[in-house]
Amino acid sequence: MGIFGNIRENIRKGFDLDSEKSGAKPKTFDVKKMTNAKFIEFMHETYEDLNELDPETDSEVLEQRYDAFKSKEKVISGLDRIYSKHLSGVTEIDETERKGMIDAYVKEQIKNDPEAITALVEKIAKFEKSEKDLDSNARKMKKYERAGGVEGLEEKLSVLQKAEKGYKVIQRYFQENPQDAMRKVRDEYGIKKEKIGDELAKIAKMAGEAKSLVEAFEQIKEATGEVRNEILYELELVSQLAERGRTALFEKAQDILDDTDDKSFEEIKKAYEQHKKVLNEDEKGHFVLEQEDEHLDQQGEHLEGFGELMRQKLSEEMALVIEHSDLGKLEKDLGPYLKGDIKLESDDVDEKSLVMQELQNVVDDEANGIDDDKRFLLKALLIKYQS
Amino acid sequence: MTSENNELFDLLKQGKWEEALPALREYLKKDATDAEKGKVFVMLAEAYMNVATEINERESAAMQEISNILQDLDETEHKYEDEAGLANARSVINS
Repeated sequence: MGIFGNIRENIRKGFDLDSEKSGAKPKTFDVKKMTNAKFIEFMHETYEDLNELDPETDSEVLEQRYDAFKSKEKVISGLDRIYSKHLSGVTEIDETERKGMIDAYVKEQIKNDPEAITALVEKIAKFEKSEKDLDSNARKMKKYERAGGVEGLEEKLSVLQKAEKGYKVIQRYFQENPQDAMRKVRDEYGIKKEKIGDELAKIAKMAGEAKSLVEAFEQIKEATGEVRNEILYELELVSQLAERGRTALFEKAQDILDDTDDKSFEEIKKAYEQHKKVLNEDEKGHFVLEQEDEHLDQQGEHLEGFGELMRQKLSEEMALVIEHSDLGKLEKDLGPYLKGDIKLESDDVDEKSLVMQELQNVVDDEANGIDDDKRFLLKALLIKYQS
Repeated sequence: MTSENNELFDLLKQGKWEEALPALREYLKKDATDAEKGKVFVMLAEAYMNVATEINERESAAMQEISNILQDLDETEHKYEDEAGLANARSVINS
């Protein structure tokens, strides 16, 4: 009895659901597979020995043919997707004709070279997997691009997106201009590959720099004093440093005044006031004048001491400003002193002269360690503010 | 199978599209069986898949590598933000 000659009989014979009760069950071909209408049609069209097959004794052959049937289905549907999506218009043959031709060839191959069909199934699966992976990776990349990352990466990544668009253009070109499509594919692929390589290198470099920056900030958090200043310098935060230096200088200048004996300072002022008054009031006589002169001599020593103190402190602060200012900011940092904008609240101290003298000392002292560029700029500043 | 067919199939196998496609079109106009013409379509698709799969895989690998870098950067940045925050760090530096 043929396998498809009497299906009902075969089902009864080969797939008796109660057969387990009667002991050893013969190995049979699956009933669902056997009654698959497309499989039956395939068997009729492809093989000529249907009536010689038995579901029990030939179950292995039937399994092989069912596998062949499934492979054929996969090849037909896979090739149809490829022609619809990527190769439409390559030939003038319409879709129905093309499907019929492919179907005829695959049926033939199923019998003559089933391994070739198996290999084709694997090739289609590999191609479709590569498409899915590409989509998945493109989505993943967009996700991280949207997530932020490091500033500037978006611009870099746009090059890759253009490369991706270029690939789609290549696909379209492949369909529309098949004559020289292969050459174009090779050329564009080469360019794209090179671009991707370059971008990868750039992004890897940026990633390295970003990590270094993060590590540097980590160090800064732990560092104090000079170490921190050194790191700040390395990170080109000179402007912030100079600003801090200037603030510190103002504060210290105030401290100098605060630390100075207020009483002496007041006395000095009072003495000068008296001195002026005496000079204007000759009528009070030489006795008073002599007394005042004696007193002023005494106060003059105080004044001289105060001036020295100011000079010493100012010298230290100037050194700080010069040391921690870059060339571009040096004039800006020293300007307030040279123009006399910074007041030490003493009418009796010529602040500008003090500053000029200190700067001159710096310029003249070859051993003070400042570099030639700064020395040159200081000379220029002295000349500029001389008048 | 004729020698003409063999030549066309060799061109397709080698990926020589510029020569193969015109010959293929001519072949499809000739009097051949459906199975013979079907073989041409299968080989054309195979040749396309060979090239496209390679391009897809290379591009995919490049994107994967970039994604890994971006992921790494994101994680580093988030980790840093979690620990202290860039703004806080700056204020510490400037304090």
